[in-house]
Amino acid sequence: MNSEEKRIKSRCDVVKIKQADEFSSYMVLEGEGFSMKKKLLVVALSTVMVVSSLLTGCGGSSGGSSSGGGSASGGASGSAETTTGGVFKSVETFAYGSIDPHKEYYSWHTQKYGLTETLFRINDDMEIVPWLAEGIEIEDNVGTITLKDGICFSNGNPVTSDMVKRNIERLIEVSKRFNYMSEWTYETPDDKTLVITTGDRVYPTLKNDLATPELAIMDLDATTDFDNNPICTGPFVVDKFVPQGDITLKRNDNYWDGEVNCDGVVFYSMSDDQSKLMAMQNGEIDAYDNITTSDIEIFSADPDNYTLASVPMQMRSYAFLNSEKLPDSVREAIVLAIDKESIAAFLPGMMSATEGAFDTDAPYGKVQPPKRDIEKAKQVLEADGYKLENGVFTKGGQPLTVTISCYQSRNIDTIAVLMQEQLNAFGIKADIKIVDEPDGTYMTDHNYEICLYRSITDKTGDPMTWFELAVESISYQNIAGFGNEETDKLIEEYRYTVDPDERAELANEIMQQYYDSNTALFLTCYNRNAVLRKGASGFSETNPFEFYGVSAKTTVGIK
Amino acid sequence: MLKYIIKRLINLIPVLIVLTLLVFLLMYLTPGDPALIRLSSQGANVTDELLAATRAEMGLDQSFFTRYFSWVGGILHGDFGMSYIDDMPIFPKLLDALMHTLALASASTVVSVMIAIPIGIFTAVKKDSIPDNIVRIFTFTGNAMPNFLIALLLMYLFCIRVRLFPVIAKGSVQGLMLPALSLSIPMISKFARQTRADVLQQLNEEYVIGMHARGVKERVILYKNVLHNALGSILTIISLQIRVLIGGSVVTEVIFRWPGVGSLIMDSIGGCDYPTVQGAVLILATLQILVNLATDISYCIIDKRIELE
Amino acid sequence: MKKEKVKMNKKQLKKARLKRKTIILGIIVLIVLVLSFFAPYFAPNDPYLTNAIAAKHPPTSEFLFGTDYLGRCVFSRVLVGARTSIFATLMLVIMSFIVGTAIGIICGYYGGAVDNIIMRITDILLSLPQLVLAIAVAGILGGSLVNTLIAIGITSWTSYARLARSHTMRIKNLPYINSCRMTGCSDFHILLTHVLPNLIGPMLVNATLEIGSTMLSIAGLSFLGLGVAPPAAEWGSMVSEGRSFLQIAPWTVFAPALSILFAVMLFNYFGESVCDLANSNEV
Repeated sequence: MNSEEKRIKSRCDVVKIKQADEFSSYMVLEGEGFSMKKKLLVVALSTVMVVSSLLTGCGGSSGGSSSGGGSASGGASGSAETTTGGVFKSVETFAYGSIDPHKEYYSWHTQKYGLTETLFRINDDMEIVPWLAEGIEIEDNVGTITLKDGICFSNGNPVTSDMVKRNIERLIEVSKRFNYMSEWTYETPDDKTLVITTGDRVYPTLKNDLATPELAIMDLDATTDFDNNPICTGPFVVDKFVPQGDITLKRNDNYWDGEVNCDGVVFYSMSDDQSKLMAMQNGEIDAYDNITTSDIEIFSADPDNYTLASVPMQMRSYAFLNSEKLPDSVREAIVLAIDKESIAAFLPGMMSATEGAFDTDAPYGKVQPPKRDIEKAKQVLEADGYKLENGVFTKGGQPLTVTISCYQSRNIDTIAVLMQEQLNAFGIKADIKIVDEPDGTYMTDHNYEICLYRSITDKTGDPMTWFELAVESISYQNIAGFGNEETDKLIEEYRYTVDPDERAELANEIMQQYYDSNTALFLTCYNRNAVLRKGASGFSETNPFEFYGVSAKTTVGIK
Repeated sequence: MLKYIIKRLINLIPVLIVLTLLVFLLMYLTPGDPALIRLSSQGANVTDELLAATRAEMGLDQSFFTRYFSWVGGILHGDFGMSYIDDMPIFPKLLDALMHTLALASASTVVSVMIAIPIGIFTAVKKDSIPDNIVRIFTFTGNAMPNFLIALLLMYLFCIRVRLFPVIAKGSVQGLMLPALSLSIPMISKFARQTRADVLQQLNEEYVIGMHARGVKERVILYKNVLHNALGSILTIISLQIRVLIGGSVVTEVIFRWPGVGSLIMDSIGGCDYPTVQGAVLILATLQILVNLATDISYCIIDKRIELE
Repeated sequence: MKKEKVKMNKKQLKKARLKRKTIILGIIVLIVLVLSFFAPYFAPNDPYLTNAIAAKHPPTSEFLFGTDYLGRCVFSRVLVGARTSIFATLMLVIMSFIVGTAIGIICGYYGGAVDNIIMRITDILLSLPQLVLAIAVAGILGGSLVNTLIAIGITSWTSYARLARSHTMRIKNLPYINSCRMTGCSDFHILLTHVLPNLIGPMLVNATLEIGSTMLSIAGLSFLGLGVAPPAAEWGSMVSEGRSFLQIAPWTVFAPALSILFAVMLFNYFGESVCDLANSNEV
């Protein structure tokens, strides 16, 4: 029986995952949901790279012969030429002192470098597909994972189910975030099979959890220096890692999935946007992602030499309106007054305006917040006794003022400035307060009037992730005073509901309550933007997740 | 001489004690709970028990002085504590950053001295000539330039307009050139002005006039006597400039992504990594104190009279 | 005899010229101050009005210095920023001047343990790299203009205090102060009527010389993002905002940066001529 139909007591774990560039992003690994309709906004680029499940064994192949199969084929104006061998160079924004994939969020980087791999991966269409695993059979609360034949570590040792089990155990031990996995039991009937029993209840997101980058499989016996040279299964192996600095990797001659095209990979540690841009223009790097608006402008002017890839992520920016500090009428007026389209117009390519937390064409996205309506916003305030005097709403002689808290990342501060201007024009005096990091400040001490935040709101086509992240009373992002018993009950009901139509109806009901409270104002939806030099390909640039990067088929740009 | 140095070294002890106290107090007063920052950077689900446990683990539940003494005790053993961000020891990072900052500071000082002193002497000798006036305009402008303007200007000219320098050259000689140059420009301006003024003053002294009268060669007077006597004040300004450099290199390091102490401080402030900020500020201040000491000692070597004061 | 007279005249002539120069510079400084104070009224465009279509537009007759990444008029922002930048600088200089002079006079006049302790503190503060300390303080207090001023102010008073102290020590040992004391004047009276007027001149000269470097320190901190909150216009933060667009919109960086340069040059030039004038008076 399919687990989704038996979703009696499913629990998804909200996994807070650090973005490559900072600490403040939440994403949820949840699965088995509705397949995500993904809008690909490929500006111009080369193409798909789902890891093929061709089994090629672990022969010690040598040298730089041409890449096997599926090399980059042309997109709209993609290059037909591909290069063989060479060193692929890119940049890494975040500096860190270790590359032990089980620690912190280091796996987000090591996986991008082609060093570590996991049992499953998320493909371009946000589906969970096998990687090191052949597949998974889920029966009630028991998941049976079969490993692929012929998978081996870079030292030639085969990957056994026992080793996978020990990796899970080490991850639980090293990372506090995976504590919940310690409640499960793991059995290895043979070398290729791992049986996971998820306690006494069904755990529908098991496959997704196994696709998290942190669950990288290492050779725990052969690795001596976990912090600097973990032995893993990826197409590249560590050549030199400088803590807080650059990392150089070389080809894994024992790669289990065919020959590796590039001789090596280098990721320079570089956090400055200007430097990245200039390094790309100087031809010092082949590709990088998370590019800025001005980079998009510059590179799109030169399509002969650069290919830009832009994929919408389900990452959204939004504002929380603190119900303890702002009266209902003010919150409603703010929600009605903000013009999201004009905010997005300043950041073309980076983001687009969004109505609510989910796409409107999703079954659970039928309910959306009210559209912008300045007149209505004015009426709401006037009904509450505010009067427009000298362009500012005042009540009892006090002008209406608000403070917008924000931080400087991914144009959040730009959004704040634009919001401030719109509010001032509307008649609400707004100030801006910039903090270094939201999680240590307003997200935890709740001391704000309006604050900006961003996170992935819809990961795999099911709103449960968002409910657990921000709607439930106990959730981390329930900071605007929305959480209430009634909604919690609906969410609990949603958890046990199997029928897709009923689920959609419930989800819309929950979101209706959420939007009605006017505690959250959804602003924009981000794109993942990457740029590649002509000839360079295989940077997972069409994947909406930044923790995928180079692979065996990656090619270097033409100088 | 030795006595003087020992006396100065003993004087350092109370200064260092107050310094560490000050730096520690600064971070102690910082709003925000370090345990919360640490946990949120690890992505753990923050519960009250976990918070309490982390606070205990980090020693935050102890009194101010217990924490202060354990911090200072650690530093004496070369242990600056652990970073809040990645839980790695701070000391190796600091040392690496310090090496980069020192390399940058010494490169720009050497460049500046080599350019500025000849210019200063030349303009003093050829006072009010056309070259002197041109140099004066340049030094005056260089003196008033914000260091980010110089850095951005150099970057715009040599990295964007003419792509002379590679971007990825961190730590290498090539990568050192632009940041060193951008630090040198204001230094050259100050040095050249100071040298010119000092040499001019010496040239008006009685002994120079006397030597002229005795027919001693101009060049001999200039290099053997005038410059030697002017050295003291030139040294003062060099040491003052090094102080400015230690602090002022932050902006330059940030613009050119030079991985020095300044970049480290800015990155750490951004990530609320206060132990690293603490360590870095302490290191820079100690460096400054040592520079001051070295300056005083070299005065003493140049001019024995100071010892008497 | 005749030669001597000519020489005297030459000296006087030079002094007169210096005086004229200083006065002219003073007038220019005054004009700049008044202009920057009323700058918002001169701004041709709304410095805060964003415009997506006109973003990053090169200089035109409508937008003299072009527009920034949000389509705001850079020229208007530079004008408005002048008020913030220049008055923040002056405020800081005046505050450190007052605090530093007061502390210096008291230390110099009374001496003893208080003097010892305060002088030790100034020793330590002077040994700290000023900008780094300011960065740490501003980073901890949070970025705002007032915090930036506090951060720089923590160390900037020390130079005034030392100068005032040494002048006071010189003055208090002058014979006439002793006779004042004999006649039963209170310390406060002596400090206010005899000590202060005697040292205020050199202190003011010092303060004028400091304006330029103070402005550079503030600009440096606000460039590092520790200054004003957006969207307020301030020269240092404008440079910082424009930095990511150096390649496609260099005017957003160079307009405010050159404004700082010219302002600092003006204040430095003024400070130096005041200093020269003061020196020539002494001679």
